Amino acid sequence: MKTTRTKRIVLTFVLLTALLFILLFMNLMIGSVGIKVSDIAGAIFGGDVGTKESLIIRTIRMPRLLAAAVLGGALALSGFLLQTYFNNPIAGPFVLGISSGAKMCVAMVMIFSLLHGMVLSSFLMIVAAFFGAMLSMGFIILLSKNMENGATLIICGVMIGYICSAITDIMVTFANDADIVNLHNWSRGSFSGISWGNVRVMVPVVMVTFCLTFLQSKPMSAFLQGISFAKSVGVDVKRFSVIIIVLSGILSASVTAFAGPVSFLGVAAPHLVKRMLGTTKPIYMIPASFLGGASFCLLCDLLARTVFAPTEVSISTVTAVIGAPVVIWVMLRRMKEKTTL
Amino acid sequence: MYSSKELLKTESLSAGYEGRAVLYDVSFSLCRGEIMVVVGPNGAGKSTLLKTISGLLPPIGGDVELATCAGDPELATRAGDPDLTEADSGVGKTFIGTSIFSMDPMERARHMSLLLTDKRMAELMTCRDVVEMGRYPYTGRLGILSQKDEEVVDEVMERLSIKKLSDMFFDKISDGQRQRVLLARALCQKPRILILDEPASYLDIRYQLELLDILRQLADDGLSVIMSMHELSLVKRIADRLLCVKDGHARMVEDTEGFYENGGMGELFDIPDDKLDYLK
Repeated sequence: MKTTRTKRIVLTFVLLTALLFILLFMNLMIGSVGIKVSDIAGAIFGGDVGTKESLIIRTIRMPRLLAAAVLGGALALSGFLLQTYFNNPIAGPFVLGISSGAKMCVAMVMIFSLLHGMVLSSFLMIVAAFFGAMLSMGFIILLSKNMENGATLIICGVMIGYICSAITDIMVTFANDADIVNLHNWSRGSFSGISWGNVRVMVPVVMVTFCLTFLQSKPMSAFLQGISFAKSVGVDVKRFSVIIIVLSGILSASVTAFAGPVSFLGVAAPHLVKRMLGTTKPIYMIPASFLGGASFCLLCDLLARTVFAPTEVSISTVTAVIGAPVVIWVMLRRMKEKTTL
Repeated sequence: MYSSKELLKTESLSAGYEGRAVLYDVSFSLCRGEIMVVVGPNGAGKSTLLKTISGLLPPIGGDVELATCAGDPELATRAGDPDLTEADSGVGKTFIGTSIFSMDPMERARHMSLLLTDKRMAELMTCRDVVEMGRYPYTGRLGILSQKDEEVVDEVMERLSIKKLSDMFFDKISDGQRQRVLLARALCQKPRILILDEPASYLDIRYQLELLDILRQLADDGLSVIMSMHELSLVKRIADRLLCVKDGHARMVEDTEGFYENGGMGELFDIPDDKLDYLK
């Protein structure tokens, strides 16, 4: 029986990797300008040939799809960490208001720098987003201390999200400047306009965070079996909690800094992956969530670009349409299981 | 120096939460292969005491010491063993008491395991996954089980006859089976001391009796057990010694039989005279 389980896990990883490559490829080819396979090969391996196609691939599509993959993975992983920490299957950076907190702080810093004619570096954006994420997270943790009920936690998170979004809207409305148009797009969530410069910052940040998260898979597996149990086998629960919160904060901050808030992906992707794997073991769930989130996000971005082309919808619109039903499904399942237990 | 039988000893221990003690001046020692049952009314501090002696709660005062052997860590696992010869425990190999609060928590988890009625458990966990987690203090950085770890898991599951549950999901089995799986997880830590908080609650009488049988067998093999329990008929059946907890103090009772005979339980739980017949 153990072998069938191993087979399933291996198969899931093969499937997720294949899916990722297919979606990467589709994202390169499909768009307002259709691109042939030969052009792709030429643009990637043949150096700068100066054609319109190679320009589109090199400066627009490649950074965009890399960002969608890396940030999608980051978001899913961040969701998995939050679900583990709060012991709540529908916790995630968006539902808990963490994305909105990050958005608020980034908007503040952006507007400030626009008014003073400064150029905002990618790194500074992450720092601002991280600060905002921690702000929301701090509130949520304070509130969660006094509540046993998981649903109340989520409602508080959604409310915090609304408050932060409202503040952001007010700021965007009053900072009336031509450059704010960009800000407006970003504040609704979008991968358009991502540059190679952004990618060069986000990839190392997300990859290092991913590795640090993977190293936490052992204490996390004990934590999943109960906090007192984890303590009794030697997990320093306080230290572990701080690590998990900071890591998930960095991950969701990176997403928000570059793509704005992306809804529900952090809940939907880890859940779908968990069903595929048939296990909750963090040592599998951490890499699989990342892979799954990357594919999910690439698919959503592809849809965002193409469904109403040439008009682009925000990434959050698409992830909501696909992700929200998954969240509802998870809740229904959980309610059903509660009654049978 | 430690007497040959003592494994765990508390020294005027005060236990409680956030600096406020609910139990004062608790002194007792646990011997190899004995089953000690902590009894007392609700809220007397039984769980607090168990959490403190397992190192989960810092003590308010006093200390909890475990018999270890500086010269020979292997020998420490045999503390209290009647077969231990003079030659085994030679010069420089004397047992000493080490405070469990100064030990590395992972090291401590190899000496004692704690079984709480913890409701939290992730979904999609098979029973084997749960049992394997008991090897936590022995595995490396990523928690991957070695051949030896797998063997220990096999052996423990065999012993508790839960091999057939291996691939079933933990949240899909009965309460009695679940308790066995959790016990198996605790035994995978290869402890010398097993601490259980209310292990018989939620079990029907058949599983309760089975649990007592298993615990007795384990104790016969040298494991020391300390647990809290409410079911007085079970307590009478299993306890070698009693630790009675009431009004902030703990009292050791050596003669369990006599305690029951002389109405000790009635007094401990403040049972009115006209209802004492229940305890007979």
